[in-house]
Amino acid sequence: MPRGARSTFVLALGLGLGACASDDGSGVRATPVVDLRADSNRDGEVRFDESDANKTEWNATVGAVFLANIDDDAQRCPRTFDDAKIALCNDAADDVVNGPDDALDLARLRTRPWPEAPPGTVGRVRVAPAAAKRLVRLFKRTGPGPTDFEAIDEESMFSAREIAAGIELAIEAKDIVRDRDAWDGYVDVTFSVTTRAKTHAEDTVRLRVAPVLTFHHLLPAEIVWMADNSAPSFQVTKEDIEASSIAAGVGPVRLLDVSDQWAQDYFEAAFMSMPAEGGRQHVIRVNYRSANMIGRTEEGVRLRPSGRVVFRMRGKDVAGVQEFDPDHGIAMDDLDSLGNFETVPPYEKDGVSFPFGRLLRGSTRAFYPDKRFMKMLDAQGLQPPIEIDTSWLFIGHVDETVSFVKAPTPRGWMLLVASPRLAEQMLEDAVRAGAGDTPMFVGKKWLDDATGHEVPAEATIAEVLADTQVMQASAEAAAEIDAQLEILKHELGLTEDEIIEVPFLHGIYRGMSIAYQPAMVNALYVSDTRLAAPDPHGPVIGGKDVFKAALEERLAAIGITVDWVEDWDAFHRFQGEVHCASNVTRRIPEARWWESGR
Amino acid sequence: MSETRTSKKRSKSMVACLLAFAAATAADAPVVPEAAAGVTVTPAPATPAAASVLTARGEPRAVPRLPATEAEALRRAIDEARALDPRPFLTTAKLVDDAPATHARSRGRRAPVGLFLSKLGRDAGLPILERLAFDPPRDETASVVRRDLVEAVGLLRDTRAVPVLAAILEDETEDAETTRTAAEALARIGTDEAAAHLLTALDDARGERERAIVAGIGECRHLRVTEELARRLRSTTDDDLARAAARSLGRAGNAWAWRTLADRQEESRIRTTAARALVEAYVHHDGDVRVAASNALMVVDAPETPALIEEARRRATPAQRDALDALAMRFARNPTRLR
Repeated sequence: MPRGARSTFVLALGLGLGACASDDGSGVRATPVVDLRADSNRDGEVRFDESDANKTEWNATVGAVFLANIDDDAQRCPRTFDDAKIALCNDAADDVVNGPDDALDLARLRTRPWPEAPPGTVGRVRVAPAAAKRLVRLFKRTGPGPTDFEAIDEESMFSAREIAAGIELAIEAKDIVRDRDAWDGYVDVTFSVTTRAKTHAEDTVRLRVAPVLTFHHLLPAEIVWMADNSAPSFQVTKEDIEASSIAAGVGPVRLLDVSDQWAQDYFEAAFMSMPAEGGRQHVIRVNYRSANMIGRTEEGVRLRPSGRVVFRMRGKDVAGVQEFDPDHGIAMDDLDSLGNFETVPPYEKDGVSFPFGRLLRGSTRAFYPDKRFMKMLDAQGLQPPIEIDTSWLFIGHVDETVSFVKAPTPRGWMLLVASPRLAEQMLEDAVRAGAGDTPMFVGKKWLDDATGHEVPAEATIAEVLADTQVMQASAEAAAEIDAQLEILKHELGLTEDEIIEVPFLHGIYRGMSIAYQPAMVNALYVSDTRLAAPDPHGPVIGGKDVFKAALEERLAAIGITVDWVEDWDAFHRFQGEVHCASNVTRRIPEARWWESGR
Repeated sequence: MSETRTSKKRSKSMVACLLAFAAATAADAPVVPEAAAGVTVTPAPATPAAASVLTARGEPRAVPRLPATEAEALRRAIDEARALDPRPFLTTAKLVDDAPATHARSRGRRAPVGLFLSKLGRDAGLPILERLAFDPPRDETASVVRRDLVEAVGLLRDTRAVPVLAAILEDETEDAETTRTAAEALARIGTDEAAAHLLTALDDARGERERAIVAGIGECRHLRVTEELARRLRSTTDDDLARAAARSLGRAGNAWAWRTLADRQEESRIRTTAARALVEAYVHHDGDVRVAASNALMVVDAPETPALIEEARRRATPAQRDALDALAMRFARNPTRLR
C-alpha cells in the first residue's frame, strides 16, 4: 500500500462463512475494490496510478486542494440585499451546479471502477472532521454534461452499478476558513463500500481548502481602481494617477461603482487558487470588504456602505467576503479601514520562508482592528500578521508611514519609511544655506473651496521650523516611526541599507499625528519602475523642489521613476494621499501556495 | 507616600494662587438656573432647542456653564466684533455648517475642521467662541463639531476662550474626548490661568476623566504641570493612564517644540523632570507603557538621560538592566536627533 494511503478492508465479523454469506452464492466473499482519489499530486488531474496514491498526507509536496466556491459565476446574486444578506449569496449557497463555470470551481475526486461489484453492493461517502460537515458540499456526476452533478450527503447511497463504473465526485467549501479553532480547512473524505455479504471496505483522501491570500507590491498591477467621483479636485488627482497607470502599461484607471473617494480603505483585493490541468492554477479572486462601521441602529450594525462594492464586483471567478464583530468599538473603527492593511513582500529570515509575504496592520493592546476580521485573516495561515503601533496617528493606518518597492538587492525589495527627521534636517540645512525665506506650499490653500474663503497654506521654511505644533508632532512621529521600524527590522531582518527614508513633516490634530506636508510614502506602486506619489509642494531651491528631488534621487538609484500626482485639494487636506485614493488588483503569483509548507 | 501628599498640597496651593485673580467672580451665580442638565449662559437662545447640544450618547447637553459676568463680557465682545466686521462670522458659520459634510468626505470620516477654522486667524476667535458658548451645533454630529470648535480656539491660543474652555473642562458630564480636547486647548493657550484650571480639574479626576485630562495636558509647558504629570506617572497602576502620562511628558519636554518657543526659562527643568519620570516608568513598566516611555524620552532628548539611565541601572534587576541597556543604545542614536 502506498505511503499515506489509508484503505481499510473489514470482514463483517459475526457472520458465518457459509454460502449464504457470500455475494454470489459461491461461498466466496468478494473483496471490495475501494480506492478514492483526488488530485493529491497537484497536477490538475485525478489518476489511479502511483502519482495520486499518497492520499492522506498533506504537506509541501503532496495533498489535494479545493476551493471555497463563493464566487457568482452566472451573476445571479442580487445587489440590493442588506448587509447581513448580501454576503450570503454565492455559488455555494445552493446545492446545484450553476453552469459550466461553476463546475470548474469544484475539485474532483474519483473512485476506482470495480466492475466485479456484486449486486446489492452499496457505497457511501462521508466527511470528517465534524466541523467540516456543514462547510463542505459533495456532488456526484450524474451525466456527461458539464453541469450534470447532484449534491450528495452522508445518507446518499451509491448503487452497485455506479460502484462498478466508478464514480466522479466533486467538492466545494461553502465558505473560506474564518476561525481555525472551529475548522482548520482540512477535510478527510471517506468512500465506503459494503457488499450484501456485509464485507466492508473504505478509503480516505485528505484535502485542504485554499486560503485567501493578499497581493504584495512585487506582483505586477493589473487594474488600478479609483472611486467614481465627479468633484473637480478629485478629477485632478485621477488624471495624474491615470497618466502614471497608462505610462506603466497598466492602462486607464477603472472606476468603482461608488463615490467614496478613499478607494484604498473599503476593500482589499486577494485570491485563492487550486491546481488545474497543465500546471496551471484555477483561481477565484476575492475582495475583502472592510469591517468599517458607521453606526448602530436597532436593526443592527451599519457597515460602511461603500464596502458593498465587493459584492457588486462579485461575478465569474470573483468573490466578496465580509467579516466583522458587531461589538467592535466604533472608536477604533479607523483601524478597520484597509489602508491599515498592507502585505509585506516575500522574504526569508532565520531559515523561515514567507513566500507570499506577511500581513502588516496597525494594532496595539488597547487600540486594535476588528478582532473577528483579524481572526479570519490569521486563519488563512500563510501570511502571519505583523502588528505595529499606529495609535499615535490621527487616521491610524500603516500606509501613512511605510510602503514597499522592488529593488535590485538580494532581498529583492526595500522598505519606504516616512522620515520627519530627514525632512527637518533638509529644512534646517536650507536655512543654513540662506534659503529660510523660501516658501513651501505655493498656491495651495487650507480651506475647502466651498467656503469661498481663501486661506493660503504658503509658509516659508523658517516659518515652518518655527511652528510649535509641527515641530512637536514631527519629533513625536520620528520616535514613533523608529519604534515601528524596530519591529519591522526584528521581524523582517531588514538592514539600514534596505530602508529608504521619505522626508515629510507631521502636524497634530486632536492630540494625534497627521501628515503636514503631502506624505510621499503614501504612494501607488504602479509598476516595478514607477511610483505615483503626491506632489509635496516643497520649497524650490536652485530651481528644484528639494523634497521631490530627495525622493527622485533615492528611487532612481533602484531604477524607479516617480510620477508626481496633484492631490492637495482632494486628498491631502482630508488626511489622505495617493495610496488612499487608489486600489490595485495585481497578477496572481506564479508561486503555488500549496508548496509553501504552511 | 509623603512625597505624593506634599506634591498634591503644593499643587493645590498653586492653584489657589493662580486663581486669585478670579476671586471676584468666584461667587458669581450662573445666570439662568436650570435643572439637572446644568445652567445655560445668557442671552437665552432663540429657541429652547438651542439651549443644548447632543452628547455623544444623543442626550441633551447644556452649553458651557459660564459665570454671568464672563458670559456678558463675552457677548459684548462678540457684538462689538460683529459690528466692526461681520465677515469672519459669516465665514466661520459657513465652515461650521459645512463641517458634517467635510467630516463625511474626510479619510476616517474625521476632518481637521478645527485646524481649518484656526487657519482663519485670530479674527475667527470670537465667532468660534460665539458658536461654542451661545449657539452650539445641534445636528447629529454636534459633539464632533463642538470638539472642532474647542480645538480651533486652542490652536488660535485665544486667551478669551479660557473661561469657556474651563467651563467645558470642569463639566464632569462631558464625554472623555471632549474633556481631552478642552484640556489640550487650555494647555496650548498655556497662560497661568489656563494651567490653574487644568490642575484644578485634574485634582479630583479619576478613571476615564483623569486619563482624558492627562492626555490633553502635555502641551502646557509649566513646570508645575510637568511635575504633576510625573507624579501621576510614578504612582499609577493603570497602564492606560501611565501611557497617556508618558506621552504627555514627552510633549511637555519635546525638544523640537521648545526650540520654537520664545520663553524657554523652564525648558531645562521641565525636560529633566520629564526625563527622570520617564526613565523610572521605563524601568517599572513593560509592554506599551515602556515603549511610550522610550519614545517620549527620545523626543525630550534631555542631556541628563544617559546619567539617569545609568543611575536606574544600578538599582535594576538583571532583566531591567538589559532593557535599560537597550534604551541607552536607542538614546545614543536618538531618532529625533539631527545628523
